Amino acid sequence: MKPEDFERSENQDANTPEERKRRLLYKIRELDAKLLCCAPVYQRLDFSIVEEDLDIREIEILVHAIEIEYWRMRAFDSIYTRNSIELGIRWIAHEYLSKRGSLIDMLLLIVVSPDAAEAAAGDLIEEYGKVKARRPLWFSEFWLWKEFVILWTLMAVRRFGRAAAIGGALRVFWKWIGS
Amino acid sequence: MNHTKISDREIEVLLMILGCGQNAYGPAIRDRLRERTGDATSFGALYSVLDRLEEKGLVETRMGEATPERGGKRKRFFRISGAGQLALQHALLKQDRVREGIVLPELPNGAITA
Repeated sequence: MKPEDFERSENQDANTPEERKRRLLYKIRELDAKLLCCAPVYQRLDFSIVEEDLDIREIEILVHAIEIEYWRMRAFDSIYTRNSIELGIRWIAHEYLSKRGSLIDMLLLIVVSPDAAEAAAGDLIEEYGKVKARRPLWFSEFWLWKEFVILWTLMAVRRFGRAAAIGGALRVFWKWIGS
Repeated sequence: MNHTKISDREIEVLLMILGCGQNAYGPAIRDRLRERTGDATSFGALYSVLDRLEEKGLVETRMGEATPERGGKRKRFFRISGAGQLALQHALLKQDRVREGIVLPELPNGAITA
């Protein structure tokens, strides 16, 4: 899709799912191109997976993940960062999304390695089951999200540093509210 | 000989990993920690410590089996490495040496309930 096509389509009904998906795909292509310019090791996304296999929600999460990586890379341009882009985005896009992860899995992948993310999500689910068996549902839900937010924040601080983690989390949260 | 320095929390977590034996994964370590110390540790706090220990080379991990109650996700088991055993032993010996010969004074009446 060309930028002029995008602008044209933006003037049409922007609330239809098709239009929303088109705009997200444009955003991903834009970010993908920016990342390629900034990080020589970055491997381009497989757009056939993104366009054909993912629904709008999954594409939105992918956009958030890439935006965080891009923003962080611009702020802390280092070998470590470039390597983490390689590991983070390539893995998310090529392997995990094809298996259809949940929101928790996806967000964990931004802050920890794939194995650690799988185990952490599994631990939370296992513990959630135990809490649900003895407490009301509302409490179990509250417990799960409280544990997840603490976990995500602490891991993000460890991985990105305090300022970048808070900035990234606020950005995701803001987008989340806006979506 | 130089040993990796470890914090009190790291000592506790290393001891819990030892206590859990072959079954040292997130929830088991967390339950044991709560049982022994009375602290309700969050998963985030626990993973931070485990992550740090792995980074220092004091623990090793391996992926285990997936179970239905975990949503089909695999467990991540922790094991203390050789360097971890040395660091733990050194830290515990140091604590013993610090305590050696010291007799705690008797607590005043009512101090325990205060």
